[in-house]
This record gives sequence, structure tokens and C-alpha cells, in this order.
Amino acid sequence: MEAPMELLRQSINPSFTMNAPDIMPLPSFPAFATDFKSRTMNPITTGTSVVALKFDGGVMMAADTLGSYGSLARFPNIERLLRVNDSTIIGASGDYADYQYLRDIIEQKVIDEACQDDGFGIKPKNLHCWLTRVMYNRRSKFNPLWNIYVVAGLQDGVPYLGYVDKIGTSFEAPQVVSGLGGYLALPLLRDAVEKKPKMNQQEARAAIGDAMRLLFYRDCQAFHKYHLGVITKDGAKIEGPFEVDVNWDLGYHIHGY
Amino acid sequence: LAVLTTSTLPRWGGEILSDHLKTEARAARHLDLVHPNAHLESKGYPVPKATKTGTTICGTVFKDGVILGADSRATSDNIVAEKECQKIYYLVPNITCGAGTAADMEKVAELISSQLELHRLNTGRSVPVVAACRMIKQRLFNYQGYIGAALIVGGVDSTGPHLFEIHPHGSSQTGMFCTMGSGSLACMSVLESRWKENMNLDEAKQMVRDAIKAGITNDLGSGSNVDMCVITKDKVDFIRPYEVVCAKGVSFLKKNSLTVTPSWIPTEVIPSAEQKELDALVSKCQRNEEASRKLCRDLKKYCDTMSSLGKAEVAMTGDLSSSSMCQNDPQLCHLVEGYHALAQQVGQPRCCRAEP
Repeated sequence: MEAPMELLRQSINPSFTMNAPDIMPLPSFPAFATDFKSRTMNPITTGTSVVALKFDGGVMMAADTLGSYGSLARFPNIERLLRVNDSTIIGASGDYADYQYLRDIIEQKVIDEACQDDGFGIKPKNLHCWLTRVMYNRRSKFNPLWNIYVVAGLQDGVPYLGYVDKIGTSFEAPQVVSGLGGYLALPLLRDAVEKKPKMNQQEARAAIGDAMRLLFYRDCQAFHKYHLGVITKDGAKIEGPFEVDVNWDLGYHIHGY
Repeated sequence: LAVLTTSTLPRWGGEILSDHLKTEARAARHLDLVHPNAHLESKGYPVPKATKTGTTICGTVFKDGVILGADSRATSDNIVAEKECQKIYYLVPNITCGAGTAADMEKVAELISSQLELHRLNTGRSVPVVAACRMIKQRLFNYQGYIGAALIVGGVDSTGPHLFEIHPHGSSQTGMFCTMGSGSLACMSVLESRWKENMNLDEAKQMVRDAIKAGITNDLGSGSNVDMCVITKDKVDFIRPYEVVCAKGVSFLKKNSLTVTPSWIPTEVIPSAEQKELDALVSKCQRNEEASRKLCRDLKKYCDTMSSLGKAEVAMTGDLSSSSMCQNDPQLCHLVEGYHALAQQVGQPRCCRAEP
């Protein structure tokens, strides 16, 4: 988009003004920004970490329900998990607007797939790959979607868990956490899986609950309510919101500094 | 590069303060190095940057006292400078401190230790942990964060067990458990989820070990061993190393128990029946080879001696035939000449090639 001055000039047909004396010059507009290309410079409304892990028979993912507006806890009831279809769930952290944009596109994709009516749907690996290409492409144009996506699902019956960054970093791992949770919750999840490599759903729920509680204790932008997405061979379901059980009894022991 | 420092005064403290010298100079600050530092800077010797070392240290209060834990890796940029460095320093008989992120922590610990000892001698009582905390705090605040020492001070005194964490700028916090260093978040995850009141010794030790291990495995700046120090009313138990987490050739993932130290000798491989047979055959072959080599050597020796014998016979008969005894007796001469011809004929080397 060009400056208003130029637009105005272009809107006037030159045949009218040709050879005419300049008795009424075009108004001059006050100088203002001409670069109307919108580039994501910084995220506005953000979601914090998404935690996910694979267990025996499926994948579990959790994300809290807070949209932070800088340091203000502005939107306490947003949903950051998206049930794509029966075999895939994605969780988003980072800029919420960018996630909403992508969510519309993904939902349209699902509708298109349903319209084709060939028995195939979007599988998690497919979605992960597509997301990676989209994110990397946007980053290469210096206009990133300021998100971290966690893609979870069952790929032909085998649990699948992937991560995509705003710069297009993508990988697959048995436990995936975005954001600050990588420092806090990931050690906890790795430890839990190390102790019991074949977890059942209950144990996975407990581990995730532990992680969400820890994040609420130690991450400034976390919240005490979260959604839980579970994918098993019986389908994909988003449950919640659950509340983190906190224990502040420690305070009774602290005297002095 | 000649750097003007005393053992305790940092360079950087003076450099920054020189700007605010006229407006904010206070009596408690050490300003001796302001002018020399500024002079050096103007001559092109910039202030050296403090190198950060990665670390995981933690402390927790349990039923009978305090446990401090630490990893043992000292890094210099991206290289492990020391694999077995000691991060838990001993201050007084009842107090120790876990050192955090800088090498000048050692000097602070030494200084405070001597001051605490003087305190103990002056008052005639065991030193309260708050005294250590207060002394360290005041020293660090004096230097406005330029002494990069972040530490955990723990000990047991007459009022019970205490634990303090002190940051480089001089702020302190008390608590039931605390962690510091680059691996502190990973360590905190374990402590937050597993801490409870009045743990017994074994539980607490296991928890601290798991916490430091989380820091070691998830943080690149921490590594090697887990060191631990248990302080109770009666004694200080300095266990170093408590556990070797990442020994070469041994996967720590398989070891779960508290007291296992991995051995460096690889386990014996027990040979199977076929292996034994193969070994027997191989040894037999080797013996045969030895024997055949020996045989060859002997054969060669035999051939050599035979040829030398032949030569000797030829020489001897030659001499004999040309001697006076032969000249006189034609029968003897004929005999000797016959012998000589025969010896010459036989003496040709024919079958004496020893092929090994």
C-alpha cells in the first residue's frame, strides 16, 4: 500500500488535469508511516507453556487457559488446544492471534478433507510436516507466526508427538514442552518416563498434573486452570478445565530473610 | 596484561563506580582502584568480562538438619575446565555453603570462614547461621553485584537448621529448599514436586541426589558427579563424590540405587562351548606353528653343518693328498685322491634349502 498522496493522485484521471493550471493543488497530508506491510515484531496476547508426553497407548497434552497481555493476566479462559480430528490434537503457545489465524486454516482443511469423502483424514505426521513448512516459510519472509506448536496424535496406531517453532525448528520426541516449561517441566516428565517407561493413562495424567502444578508455582505467566487433551485408539478428546491443587503450607516455615 | 587487583577487590567495582564517583560515593565502598582502572581503560586495556560457570546447587532442610548438594563441573565458556571441582565450601564446623556461579566464590568463602572463626572465638559460642548469611550479604552488597557469587548457606545452630540463598547483589532469602545456578530450574522441579516436611535422612538424600541429577542431565553447564553434604546437630558428613552420574561406558539410566558406584573394569565375558572349542583349536594351531618353526631352524642348522663338514672333508683330503705322506705312498695317495673327488662331489649344496 502506498502513501495516501499517491493514491489520491492516481484516483484523479490525468485527462482532467492535463494542461490545466494548478489553481487548486492537492492537499498535503501530514507525514506518517508509509510502510503498511504488517510484520510480527512482538507477540501481543500470549499463551505460556504446553506440556505433552507419550504414554503406553496414546499421547497426553495439557495447556493452561490464560492469555497474557504482557504482564497482565488478561484472558483467563482461552482454549489453546485444538482437536483437529479423531487422531490429532495440536497445542499452541505464543501469540494467540497467530494461532487463531492458523486454527481457521486448519479447520477449513479438515472440512475439505471431509468433503473429499475418501476415508482419509489428516494424520499427525502430515499436519506436523505441513506446519513446519508453513512456519519456516513465514520466517523466511521475515513475518513469522509467533507460536510454538505441539502436535500430538496416533500415526497408524503409534503415538506421535512433534514440536514446531516460529523459526521452523521441528523435531519429534517422547516428551515435548514449549516455552519456560522446557526448563521446569521437561526434567520432571523425563524423570517420570525414565522411572516407568510404559506408563498407563492414569500415571500420565498424574505426571502432567505434577508438571502443571510446578509451572503454576514457578512460571510467572502460568495459570491454575488447564485443559487436558488425550488421544488414544478410542479417539481424541479435550477435557477440562482442571484446576491445579496448590499447597502454600510452606509459608508457615519461612521467617526472616 | 598487568591487572591491578588485590586478592579480594574486584576490578569491575571500581570501573562502574568511577562514573558516579562524584555523585554517589559512599564511605562503605572500596574506591581504591577507581583511578588506576580508569587509567588502564583509557590506555586500551578494557575491563575483563567475568566468565560464568554453569552449575546446579541445592539445599534442603530435613528432620535433623540440612543437606546441601552440588554438581562438580566447572566450565569456561564451552569447555569443561574441571570435572571434579568442589562447590561445597566449609565455613565453620556447623555451617557450609554451596558455591554458585563464579570462581571468586572461593575467596569469599575463605574470608567469611576466617571472620566466622573470629566471631566464634570472640563470643565463645557456636556461630549462628544468620551471622554467616549477614556477613556474606553485606560483603556482596558492598560490591554491588560485581562479585559474581550466588550461594546457598546451610547449617545447624542452637536455634535449629537454617538455609539461606544469597544472590550476587546482596539479597538473601530463607526457605525450606532452594536451588541456584544454571541448572536451578531443573533442580527446582524435583524439589517442588517431592519436598515435604520432616523427611528422614534417606528420603532427603535421595531427593537431593535426584534433584542434582536432573540438573546434571538437563543442563549443559552442569555435569559429572553429585557431591553432598549432610549437616546435623552433631556432625557434618561430607560425601564426595556421592554418586558418579555420568561415568564413561556406564549408562546411568540403568542404575537406580543410592549407593552404587560404577566400576571401571569391564565385566568378564564367559565363553560359550563353541568359543571354548575355537580357543582350543586356535591354541593347537599356534603350538603346531611353533613346532614347525623350530623344525625349520633345526633343519637349517643341520644343512649348514653338513655343508661345512663337506667343505672340511674336501680341504682335509686336499691337504692330505698334497702332503709328503701321500707322495711317498702311492696306494695312500690313490685312496686319498678318491676320497677327495668323492668329497668334492658330495659337498655340492643340493637339498639343503630349509623352507620355513
